[in-house]
Order: sequence, then structure tokens, then C-alpha cells
Amino acid sequence: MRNARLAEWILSLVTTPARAAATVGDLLEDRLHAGALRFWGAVLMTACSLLWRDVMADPGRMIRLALYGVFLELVLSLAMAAVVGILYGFVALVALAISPGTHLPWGPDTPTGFATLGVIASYVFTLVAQFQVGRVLAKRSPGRELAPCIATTLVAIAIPFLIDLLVRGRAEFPTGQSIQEALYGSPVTVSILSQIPPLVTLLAGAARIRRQRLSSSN
Amino acid sequence: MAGTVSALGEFEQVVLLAILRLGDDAYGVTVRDVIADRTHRRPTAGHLYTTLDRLEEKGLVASKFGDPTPQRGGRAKRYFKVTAKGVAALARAQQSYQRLMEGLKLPGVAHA
Repeated sequence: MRNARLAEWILSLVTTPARAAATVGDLLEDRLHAGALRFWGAVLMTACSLLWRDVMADPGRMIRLALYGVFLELVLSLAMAAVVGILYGFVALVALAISPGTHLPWGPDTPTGFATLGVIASYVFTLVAQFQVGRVLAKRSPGRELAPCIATTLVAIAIPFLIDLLVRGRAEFPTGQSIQEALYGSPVTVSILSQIPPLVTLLAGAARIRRQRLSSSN
Repeated sequence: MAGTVSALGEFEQVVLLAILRLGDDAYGVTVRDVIADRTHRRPTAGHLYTTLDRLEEKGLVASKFGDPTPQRGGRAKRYFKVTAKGVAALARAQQSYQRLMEGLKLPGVAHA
């Protein structure tokens, strides 16, 4: 079932609402897009084309915003590590105060459930952080709110590759891993695919600012 | 050269020619149809709309919205028109092609 309103909403994230409506009208009218698959394919491809046009419209500015975005992501990651460390320290202090001599789980001794909880919590924190970074980037790029999110993700993927290229042959890992694998603990394809959920939340943050701007201008 | 736009790409020229050919009825669907009929290639919607937006940003085309129509779910058509600047840019691009082609015989192609 076609949902033209949803298509219009998607396109209005990367172009003006009037143009988005006219484009959806064209796609509805065009007999080639009679099927739902073709219609949605055309909507998504058009949105991607318009988004990429925004990224390439001012590459210098986009690179600056992307580096700022990566910097924010790094700061928030460090903040998350600090929060986790403080929480762990607090729990450890309480445990030791209640029962001196308690063995505190750490490293390989950490129970699986506790470790899983930590991984889930850090992933949720990462997604929330990405949402906020998306909002900050969107505020700095009026009219092209989503473009810096794409640029930030591309730069975040490119930086480990560049590090890998620069230090390859100069650093040896006992496991024979590349820097990329050593940094992320996974092959390149997996590390790229793992960028998708953070990218979606990054875009969601930017989309929220875009919608707020559009509704305030109406 | 000050005050001139950058050279037109091949697809930009195709789009401008299609809009000129359509006159007052140039909007997304008809532009795509004319390009498909005349060049036997159908551009993707994304390629066409980004090109139209770029041409408008360069001041080579202007657009205006028509009245909403029921067959489009009450959505207006966005009509395009080539501006004087667009016509001049197109003429320059075509003259460049003609100068390059002058006196040239393409091997295996019949010439009029």
C-alpha cells in the first residue's frame, strides 16, 4: 500500500515541502511507478540523490562539520567511559562497605549477564549520543540538516582506514590483525555495517531539527 | 569569465532541451517522457530532480507550482521554464559542439 504522505515526509527532509509534494505527485502520476516497489524505490533513490547533492554542494564546509561531528562522538564516548567507570567505582565502594573482602568482578571474571548488560547499556548510550550529535550538526547546517550526518559517518569510517594505511608496515600486532581489525575487533565489512544503526539515529536527530524548523517556518 | 555560469553538462543540456520542447507543459513526468522518447534512455527520478534543482540554482530554469490535481492526490505540478540565461548557456554549449564537429566525419556514420 502506497503511503504518499510518508513519501512526502521523507522527501521533505531533503527538499522544501512544496517540492517534495510535487515530486510525490509526479511519481504517483508516472505510470512507470505503478508498482509499490518501483514507487518506493524511486522515492528512496530521489531522497538519496538530493541528500548527496547537499553533501557535495559545499564539500569544505561538510568536511569541517564532519570533523566536528567525529570530535563530538569521541568526547561523548569518553564521557560514557567515565560514567561507566564512576558507576563501577560507586558500586564497588558500596559492595566493599557492605561486605569487606568482596571479590569484585572485572575483566575475564565478569559474569556474562553483567557484561551483556554493560554492552547493551553502552550501545544505548551510543545511540542516544548519536541522536544528540545529529541535532547539533543539523543546527549548524540550516537548510541542509541531514547532509553533515552523512559526511560525519563517511569520515568516521575513513579515519581508521587512513590510520591503517599510514601505519601499515610500521606497527605489528601479534595476532596479525590490521589496525582496523585491532581497533574494532571485526573485519572491515562488519565495521562498516555496524555504522548503520548509529547513522540512522544520527539522521533521526537531524531530522527532528529539520521538522522543527519546517513547522516553525509555517 | 565574470557573470557566466560553468559549462553545462551533457544531461543538463538534455534537460534544458526537453523543457524548451515542452513549452508550457514542462513538469517532472513530461520532461522524463520527452527525454525517453527522444534519447531512448529514461533518467532516474533522482537524477532528474537533482539536475532540475541544480539548473534552478544556477538560474538557468525557473519553476512555479500549478494547481493541485485529483489524479496526483491533490498535489500541485512543478512547472519549469528555461530562463534567458539558460537559453544563452544552451546556445553556447551547442555552438561549442558544432565548432568541434565542423568538417569532421565520424567513421562509419552516414552524413547528410
